[in-house]
Amino acid sequence: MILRRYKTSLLAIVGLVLLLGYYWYQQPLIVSPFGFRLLANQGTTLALAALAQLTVVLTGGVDLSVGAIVSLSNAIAATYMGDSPWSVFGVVLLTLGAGAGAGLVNGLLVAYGRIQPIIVTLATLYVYSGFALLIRPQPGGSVPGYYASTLTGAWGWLPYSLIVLLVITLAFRMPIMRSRLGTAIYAVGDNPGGAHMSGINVPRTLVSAYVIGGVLAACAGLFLTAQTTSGDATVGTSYTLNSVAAVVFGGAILGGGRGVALGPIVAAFFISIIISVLFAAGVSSFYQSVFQGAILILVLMFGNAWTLRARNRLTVLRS
Amino acid sequence: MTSTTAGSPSLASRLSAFTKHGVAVSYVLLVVLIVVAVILNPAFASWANVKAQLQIATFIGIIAIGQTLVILTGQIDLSVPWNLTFSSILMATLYGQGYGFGVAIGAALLVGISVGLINAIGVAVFRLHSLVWTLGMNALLEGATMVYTNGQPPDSTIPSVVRFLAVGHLGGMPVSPLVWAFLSLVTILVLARSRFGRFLYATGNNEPALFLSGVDTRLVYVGAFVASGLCAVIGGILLTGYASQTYLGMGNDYLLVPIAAVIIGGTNIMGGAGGYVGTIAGTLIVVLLQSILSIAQIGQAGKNIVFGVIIIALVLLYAREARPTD
Repeated sequence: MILRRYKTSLLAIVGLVLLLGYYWYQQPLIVSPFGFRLLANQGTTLALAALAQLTVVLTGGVDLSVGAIVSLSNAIAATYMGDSPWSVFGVVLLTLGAGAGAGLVNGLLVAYGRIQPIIVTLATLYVYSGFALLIRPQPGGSVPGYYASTLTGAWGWLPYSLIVLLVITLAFRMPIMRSRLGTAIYAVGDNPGGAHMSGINVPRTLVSAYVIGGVLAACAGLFLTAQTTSGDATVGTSYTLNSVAAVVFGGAILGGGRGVALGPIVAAFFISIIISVLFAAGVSSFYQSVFQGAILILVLMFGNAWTLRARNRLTVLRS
Repeated sequence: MTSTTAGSPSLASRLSAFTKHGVAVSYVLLVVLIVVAVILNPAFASWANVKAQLQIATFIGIIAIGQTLVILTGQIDLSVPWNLTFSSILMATLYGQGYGFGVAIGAALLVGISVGLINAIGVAVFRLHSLVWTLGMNALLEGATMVYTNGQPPDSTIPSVVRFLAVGHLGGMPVSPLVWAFLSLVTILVLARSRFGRFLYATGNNEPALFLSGVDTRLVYVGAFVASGLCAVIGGILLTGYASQTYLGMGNDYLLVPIAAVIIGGTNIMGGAGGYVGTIAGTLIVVLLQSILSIAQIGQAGKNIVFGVIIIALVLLYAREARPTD
């Protein structure tokens, strides 16, 4: 039963295990407290961004503004955070609020504006990255050292970043997805008309999903800020593409209604770590974009390979 | 809304279709903008300034040709920025290495055709949404450019033919707006008079119906995306001639702005309605807006916000979906 629920995540899990095995063979040093911390930190930002993307993808949409929200959160956090714990606490709340606000705007435009999600978020991608640039025209800014070490440090073999990821997934996202709202999100993604007939408030569900996505993207931005300890208004750009790749690779369907959190999280680690594995294997850093694009394209083709086997092209056209 | 292109409907129905799809709205907006700009700054109407604005409009307008065709089928092409950059750098580098300008430009055009074909395969064969698919292509091309140039800004020699097409004059008229005018005419004729043009609208309106009428809709996508790839390359070549150089990221400003031009021109982002006549007005509006924003000292950040908001506002006006619950 449990196994069947997570069957769609299997591809990502097998991929990550093979990748880590190869990395261990290449660089035996990664099996150390330091290596674990490094690996965990590398994937956490993308894992959070992938959770944000997944929440929106489950409703049948795509959120192209994830990367811009990550940049915006990074700009806010690195610009306004002072040294006192109260300032850190306040700015973290402010950043999460900005993420929720960005998600709210996306959600309202999709649900009540009735515009295709992909168009809404393509436009808001520019709006939010514009705001990020206004807040932080030049790269710079800083966060207190203890803010960075609390999120990216480690207790022996246990990296704090994994704890952060687990807490956000299990204490924030899972209770929501197991609630009535979560069921409604899956239902709306699977069949909006049917969901409406079953008494689900479709627009309100959509707005909630985008707000949750915005908050999770802001979490990704906050963690990224702890990693880089500075602000850059364009730092989040690659997270849009990679979060979509992680979600598809993690077994969710780009059309909505299907997908669990485990797959995209594992896939996010796979996508983040494969870059450093390639570096370790001596591949030039200029190939980074090539691999990111190639991974997304191959994953998408793999996910839709059934269209090649379809006997009747009309079924394909209507899908 | 294929009725406006097929057969000859009455003047009244033509007029109502005209206003409904925003073409008229966009031309009215264009006139208002020009009047406002001239009142604010009479030098705006000088021939030198008109020439300069038309020059910039040429790049956006030519890229918007491809984007119009793709958007009419209900898709979108996000691979324009790095398709443009990669092909321009390839052209300049090959020419600098001593190949003739024919080889250099041919290689660039070949890149555009290949990118269009791959985009069309993803959309037509694997049935993936073009937004995600072409975004992946864009990343792939960015990587290809980085690998090809080793991340260094390429030093480039520009063929004199390219310089002439971009900034040359022919009897007092700048050449590049003439190139744009010629390509526009071809596009408008193809959309209004050819079978391919009608198939573009039909694909955007109801693809299964077109398929059941015996048309291979995959070829329609190939046509649209290859045209878009070629337009991006031509725009890039002219931009190279205009700037006398190629540089990494030269295409980044040419993604959202042409799409905004298409939407402002009244083409439905869901496909099936609109056309290039509106896009011309949309292009000029976008160029005017850009120069007004520049005069008002609003930087890149402000421009991003303004264009994002304009797109959302216009889509809200023209292209709302039916309620999912209807």
